[in-house]
Order: sequence, then C-alpha cells, then structure tokens
Amino acid sequence: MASNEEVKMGILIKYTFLNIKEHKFRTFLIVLSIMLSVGLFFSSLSISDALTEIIMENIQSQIGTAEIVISPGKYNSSGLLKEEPLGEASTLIDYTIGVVENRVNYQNSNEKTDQINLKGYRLEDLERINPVIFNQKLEDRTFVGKVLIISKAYAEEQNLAIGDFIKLEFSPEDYKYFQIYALAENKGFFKNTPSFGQREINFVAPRETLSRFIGHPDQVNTIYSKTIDDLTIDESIVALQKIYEREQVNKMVTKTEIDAQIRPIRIPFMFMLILVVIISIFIIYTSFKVITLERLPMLGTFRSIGATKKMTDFIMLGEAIIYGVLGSTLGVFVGHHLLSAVMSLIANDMGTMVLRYPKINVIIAIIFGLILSIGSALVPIIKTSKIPVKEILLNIIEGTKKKRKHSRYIIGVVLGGLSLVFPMQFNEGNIAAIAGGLGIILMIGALVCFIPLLTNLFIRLTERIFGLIFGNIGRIAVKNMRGNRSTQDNIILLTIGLASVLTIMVIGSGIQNETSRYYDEQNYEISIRSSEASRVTAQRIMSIEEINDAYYYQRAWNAFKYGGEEKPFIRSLVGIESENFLEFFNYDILNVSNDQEIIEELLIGRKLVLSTVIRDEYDFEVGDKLSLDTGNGIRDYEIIGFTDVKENNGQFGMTSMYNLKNDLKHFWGLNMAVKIKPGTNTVEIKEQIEKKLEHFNWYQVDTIKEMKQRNLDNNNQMIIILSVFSAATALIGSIGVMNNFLVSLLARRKSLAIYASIGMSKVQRRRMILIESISSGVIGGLFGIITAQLIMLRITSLLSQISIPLVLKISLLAGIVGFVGSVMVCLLSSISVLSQLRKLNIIKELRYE
Amino acid sequence: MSVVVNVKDVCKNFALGDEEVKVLKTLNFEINKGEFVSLMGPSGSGKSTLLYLMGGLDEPTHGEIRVNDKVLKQLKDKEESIMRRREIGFVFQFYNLIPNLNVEENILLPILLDGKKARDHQESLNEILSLVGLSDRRKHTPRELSGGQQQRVAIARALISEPDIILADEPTGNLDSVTGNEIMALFQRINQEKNKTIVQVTHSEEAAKYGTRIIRLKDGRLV
Repeated sequence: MASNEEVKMGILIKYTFLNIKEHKFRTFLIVLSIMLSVGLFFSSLSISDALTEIIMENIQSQIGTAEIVISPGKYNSSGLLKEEPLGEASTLIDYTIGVVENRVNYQNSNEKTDQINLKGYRLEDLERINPVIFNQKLEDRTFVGKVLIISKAYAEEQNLAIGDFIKLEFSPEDYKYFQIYALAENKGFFKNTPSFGQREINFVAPRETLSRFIGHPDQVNTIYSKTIDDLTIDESIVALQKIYEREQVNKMVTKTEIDAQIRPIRIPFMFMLILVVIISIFIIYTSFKVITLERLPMLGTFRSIGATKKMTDFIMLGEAIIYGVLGSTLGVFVGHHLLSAVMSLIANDMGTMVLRYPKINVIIAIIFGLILSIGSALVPIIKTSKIPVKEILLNIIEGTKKKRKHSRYIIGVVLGGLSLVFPMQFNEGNIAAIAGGLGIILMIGALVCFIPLLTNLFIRLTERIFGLIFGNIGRIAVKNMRGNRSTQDNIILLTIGLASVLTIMVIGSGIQNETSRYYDEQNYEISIRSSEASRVTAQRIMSIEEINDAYYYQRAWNAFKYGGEEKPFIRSLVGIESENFLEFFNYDILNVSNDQEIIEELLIGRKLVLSTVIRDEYDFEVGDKLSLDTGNGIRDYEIIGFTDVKENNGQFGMTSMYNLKNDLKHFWGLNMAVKIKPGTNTVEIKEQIEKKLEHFNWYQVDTIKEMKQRNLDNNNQMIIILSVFSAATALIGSIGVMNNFLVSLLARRKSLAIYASIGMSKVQRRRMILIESISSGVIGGLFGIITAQLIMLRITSLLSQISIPLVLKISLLAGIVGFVGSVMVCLLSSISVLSQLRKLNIIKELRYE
Repeated sequence: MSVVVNVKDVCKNFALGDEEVKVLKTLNFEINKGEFVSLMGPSGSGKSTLLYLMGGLDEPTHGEIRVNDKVLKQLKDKEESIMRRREIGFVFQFYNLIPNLNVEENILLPILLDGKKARDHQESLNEILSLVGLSDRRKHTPRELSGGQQQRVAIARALISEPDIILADEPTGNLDSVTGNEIMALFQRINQEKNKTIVQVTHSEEAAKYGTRIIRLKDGRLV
C-alpha cells in the first residue's frame, strides 16, 4: 500500500501533467525554444568533431596512416632523399616509407588532359600506409616494371580494364606506357576526392620503376613516417630531424591547421547559439513568471492542506524538468539533422560526407537542455517559494519591486562597463575572439537592462504624436504601455531577435560584398600559379596572340620572423620585379600622393610595404626599420608604405622579387597576372594557357570570374547556414512575442473589462490593442536596429583584432525590412489576442479580485 | 418624478453544466430620478446580476430594462458603450482602477473615450477632485493610495461625465467600517447635492441607511 508521501507526490505529479496539458500553446513554445537551443548546441558541439573526421579522412585518403613527412630541404638541390637507418629512433618510429611522387598527364577518353598523381610505392609499403582493396588483378603478372593500380571508378569512367596499356606524359614529348595491373575499390588513395574544385586522381606504380625514371634507383622524393605512440610525435620529429639533418621533417597535419580550417565555421555557430540561448532563457523565464502566478492560488491550497514547501517547489520544478526532457530529446534529434545538413553543404567540396561525433555529445546536449529549462525557471520559482502561505491564501502578496528598478540600472551600468573592459584586456589570439564575443553579449545584457527606461522615455516623447495621429484612444494606448512589463518584455525580445537577424544578414552580405569588390577591382582577367614557371614560361604564355599584357611576380608564404616571435611575420609576401605592378593590381598605398613612386622605391634595397592589419598589430609607422629573421640570417628592412589590402585576412606585404630570392631563398616558381585583349573569350585563353603548362607538375590557371565565384560559393555555404539559424532565432523571437501578447492578455482581462464598464466599445478596444502592438513593434524595431549597429561596430573591432579586416554596416534596405518585420510580428500577435478577447467575460473580470 | 430605470418582466437564467439556473424571476419595478436605492438580499439572491443588467453589461433572458427610456437590449455595442460613458457611472467593490494610470488619468477616462479633450474638462476635474477630497493626490497611481482613496477615485470617475445614474456594486465591501461610512456619506452628498440617482448593491444595513429606498431580493424575486 502506498505511503502518504507517495500518495501526495502522486497527486502533485498528476497536477503537474494537468497543468502542462491545459496550456498547450505555452508548452509548445517552451519546448520549441529548448529544442532549438539544444539542437544548435548539439551541432556546435559536434561540428568540430565531424569536420575533423572529414578533414582527417581526406588527408588519410592521400597519405594513409602517416603522421610525419620528410621532404627535401632548402639546400637539397636534387630534390631526392635516401632512406636512412633509424638507429635509436626505431624505439619511437613504427615505419618510414619512401615514395616517389610525380604528376603526369593522361589524355582521357574525352580528349582532355587529366592530371594524375602518380605515386611510386612498394606493395608491402602500400599495405602498411594505406591498404588497397583490390577489385581485379592481373593473375599472370607481378607488381613490377611499368604497371599501374588505378581506381575502379576511374577505369569505368574511362572505359579501361585490367591488362590495358595507357600512355602517361611525364614531360613534354616524354611518354611512357604502363599496363593496368589492378583495379582498386574507391577507398584510400583511390577515393577520388576533389580539392580546390579539381579532382584528385591517384595512380600507383612500383616505386623502383619511378625511382629509375628520376635517375636514382634507391632514392625517393618523399618519406612518410608513423610513430609507435602518437603521443611521441614531437619527440619523433626531433629524432628524425637528427637523422635527416638537411631535410624538412614536419607533422603531416597539425591540430592548429585543422582548427584553423574549422574555426570559420565553428565561430558563427557559437555566436548564433549564444543569441538563441539568450532568447530561449528569456522566453522560459517570462513563461514561468506567468506560470508561477497562475499556480499561486493552487499552491496556497496545497500548502494549507499539508503539502510541504519542497512538494510545492517540486510542482514547479517538475514542470521545468518535463519541458527540459521533452525539448532536449527533440533537440538532439533536430541537432543531428541540422549537423547532417550543414555537413552535406560543406562536404560538397571535400568529397564525402561522414557524420561522426562522440556519443557523449548527446548526453551533454540533454544536460544542457535541462540546465537551460531549470535554470531559466529557477528565479520565478524561488521567488514564489518565498511567499508566506498566509499571503497567498489571503491574496495580500506584498510587491517586492521596491527599489528593483534601480538595481536593474546598476546592473546595466556594470554590464556595460564589463563589455568594454573585457575586449580591451584580452585582445590577443584566440582569447580576443572569446573576450570580444563575451563583450557583445554583455553589451546586449546592458541594453536589455535599460530598455524599460528607454521605452518610457520614448513613450513620453511620442505621447502627443500618438494623440494627434490616433486621437484619445492613441493616448490611452500609449499610457497603457508605460511601465507595462509585458510590453517591455516584448520590446526586449524584438530588440534581441531583430538585432540577431540583422547582424547575420549584414555579416553575410558584408563578406560577399568585400569578396566581390576585391575581385572586381583587379585589372587583369587571368591568374596563373605554378611551382615550375620561369621567365621562359612567361614568354611562352605571352606568345598567345590574344594576351595583351602580363605581369609576373612571386609569392612567398609565411615569410620572416620578427621580434623573437615564433609565428610568421607576413603570411603572404609578394615579390615584384617591374614597375607596372599597379597597372594590374588595384592596391592603394595609403597617405601618399603618388603610389607609383612607392612601387618604384620598393624595387631598390630592402624595402617593405605592409598591410594596415600588420601596421596596427605592431603599431608601425612609415620609416620604421625592422630586423627580420629570414631563416638565412637577420636582415634589416625599411617600411615605406602601407596598404589596406584584405587578402589573406590582411596578413600581406610586398617587397622586391630580388629580396625574395636573395634573402628568403625563395625559388618557388612564378605567378602571373594576365590581361587579355578586349572582346576575347577568357575561357578559351585560359585553355590555351593550360595547354602550355600541361607538362608541369603543378599549376593553376583561373579567370578572375572563376576565382570570385569560387570564393562567393564557399562563403555562400556558410551564409546559408547562418541564415537558417537567424531564421530560427527570428522564429523563436516571434513566437516569444506572440506568447507575451497572450500572457499580457491574461493579465489585462480585468483592465479591458474595466474599460468596457466605463464605456469603451469593442471597436475602441480593438484599436487600442492594435495601436499598442504596432507601437511595441516600432519601438522594438528601432531598438533592434540600434543594437544591431552597435554590435556591428563591436564585431568590426573584434574582427580587426583577429586579423580579419571587414567593415560592417546595416544597409537602408535591411533596416527597413527588419523594422517592418518587427511591426508585422506584433501586428499578427495582436490579431491572435483579439480573437481571444471575444471570449472576455466582463462581469466575471469585474466582480472578482 | 421621472422614471430613469424601468425593469419589466425581467428574468435571467444561467447555464450551469447541463442545468439552467434561474437567478432572477420575473422582476418588475421602477427607479425614479434622484432616488438612492439599495438592493439587498442574501448571497445568491441575484442583486449584482440585476445591477449589471441595469448597466447593460449583461442581457436579461426575458423581459426588458429601460434606462432613460432606452431599451437596453435593443442597443448596439457602440450605443451601449456611449450610454456607459455619458449616462451611467459604475463603482465596484474592488475599485477597478487602471493600475498604470494616475488619479487624474483614471478619472478622465470616460471623457477621453468619448473623444473629448481632457483640457476642456479641467474645471470639472478639479471640482470632482475637491468633492472626493483627492486634490493633493491627483498625480498618484492607485498603488500609492489606500482602499478608501481608491474608491473615491472610482466614484470621481463615475461622476466626471455627469451621468444620470450611478450603479455601485458593494462599494464598501472591501473597506473598514470607518472608511465605508465616509464613502457612503459621499454617496449621500452626491445624491442630495447633485440629484444623482444611485443604485447600490449592499449586504450592509448600515450602508443601506444612507439610501432613500431599499429593494429586497430573495431567490431572484422581490420581497
């Protein structure tokens, strides 16, 4: 037989479920908020893991299980390596495998040239580093001589079979025939992943064969290595560097590199998550304020018949827990699908979509949802819990408002102050991003504290105008809004919601506009990059009739170190040789009357033009002399100018090509900017250029249009994702506003009945409610736009601190659309309220307290 | 004396689940101008129901009520509302003031709802504030007033548009006896000095003594 306690708890649980059932719309709203928050939280949490999986899978498809790569060092003029005995390092290293990597051409079945990565491996080595699953194999041959393993997919595409002979072009007029030895399943090397918009097609040949082609049977051009314990990678690198003193020994992929790839995707997720969570907290908090008020009489009754405080608190908390469990469970489901959608957008460029994340993320997300629900509801529950039973029963609850409004403003001032201090104090590296984001959240918090004051001020200033436009009903409507908590809550929701949506829109369009502008401003049509290009190549290209002019230059990556810092000083350093640079590149040298003079000066001696991002980072001025570590000794350079070029996030500099070669020992090919004659077809010229470079191991030819479109498309994926989230934020905010209007109706039924009793007609009542709602929309819209603009200013400053120079502004159109949207949400909400008002029982409201 | 309220064959039924409860059963009476009538009777006798019918806030199931010669149930919502602004003033047990409006604003509401300018009624506002003794509280909100003061504001609101009739539902029900007597004395003064017809619902014999006539109800009928 159940004990008394069990019976009481059973009654309370039953009561909790009844309450939830009674207010289905409110339940739906709260659960929806939690669901979206948890969904977004889950995807943000899991996206790093999922993306890392994709990136690692792509990397592994190219290099298998290798963790370390040994490549020819700067002073290795032959570019070849010999595998050395490991000696003491054998305790750390699982394997070192030498390979010959080559790039060859194959004339495919469409008469077009496919660039093939031809990798020379011993079969037993291949099994260790990246096992192949054979689909078919020649039985009467071994993997020796001029034989190939190719992917089954490529063979089917090109109508090839095992035993076929194919012709590969190693260099112009240098062809070799290989026999297809085996077809491999589409895994590992043969996965056929795209990279930079191009397919990566891998063939494998015997290592000895390719070594003979490069002239040294025992030598290779790359060595891959794997550790026994991956925790000892750094130690292993040191050990291998001792063995291969003059060569480069590096990690295959560092976590920093992967994080850097993921960060542009993860950061917007986190930002949206914070906004959605703030709105959700607000919705749950305001809903529970009403829930606790509604439950008061019943709570008093329960207490008066013997329920303990714990039991009545349980009723309230129980409701919050139920919302949390429901919302979290649905949220994980939503989050999984959201992540899947995001990954399929991103993975287009990366070949395959693999959705993997730690299962613990599901638990963490559910806990997050519970904390969100319970945490948001806690304050109203605690407040209600403190009310003495007598006061509840006698309905003489003393207001605790007292000086509350002053504490709100004090909190607002403190938050505002902290929002300025945090970003100033923590303004370097990753911490800058976090502090900046926190600063924005605190700023929003500060604004929220002041919204009631600002609303009242606005109303006072516009009361007369409302009277003039709408007559006495307008005046009454405006007076109703003064100090009305529901109105204030709505304005807060509208402000945060609109600010979020506008922020996302502006960031998205800002990025796209900046990208477009950069490419539109260039004065050439085709860009060429090649590791092997030389002046001879440039001359050959210039021989194409339709080419008007070309400019060649070099680009070194991660050039110089400065001030004892480990990180590279200039990420992208352009080396120029001739004076007509500015005829091709629209770079503005700041604060000089004649840019051309600076370009000419750059060619003489050790001079630098740096980006404004680097200038601001180090507080440089024109004329400053820098001692730079070139990797081959310290050299002194002079800064002669600054430019606000945004490429590579502003990590950009210019010097002469001579300095690149002489100081940095940079021999890496040539880049070219090509102008074509007016009226000629850019794509046809591009193809002609590609034909001239076919025999190179690596080259890239792009039209400016293609580069622009690729960048825009890449950005577009992220912008679509952000737009989805901003739509979700807008949806939650709108539903929150609707809920507030309905909640406000609950509280105002009595007032509306009083108005009816003193002669307000139904038409007047409708007008009054509509005026109130439109006014809320107008005020919320204005505050939302102002808040968004303040956020833009903060984000611009934050981005510049983390070396992303982007200026953001709200366009007139975006402002108007946002403003109108805000008003429409309120209007639609009021229409739903008006429909509820038809059920208003005036007498019932008037007679009872 | 002219008749301001005419109740003829009025019945009022309420649905309670599947049953129909007859609250008022065929009432017939008249109220003349200048009378101060107290509707009395035990709980559930239908006094408040009758009061709200007279104010046009509800409709009789059968019969008709005329106020100032207008049949209430024939009036449209707009006409009824106008009537409540200009010809009828309501005073309730729980004051029913608008909480975020101050004393002046609460009092002027019927004027504003009638589309008139507040500044054109400053003189009558001042007079009424003086009558109810709240001239020094005009900018206070209801939260800052005592129960008696709030009731005075409600009375002032009921008077501002100079209605012919004031309907009061247990006006002293939420007040202590001293304050209650003050309010009743005010009603009496309004009745005598301004010749306003007052109909009040009350349980209190004390309060009824301030009136000129008592109508008693029991089980929905006049006794």
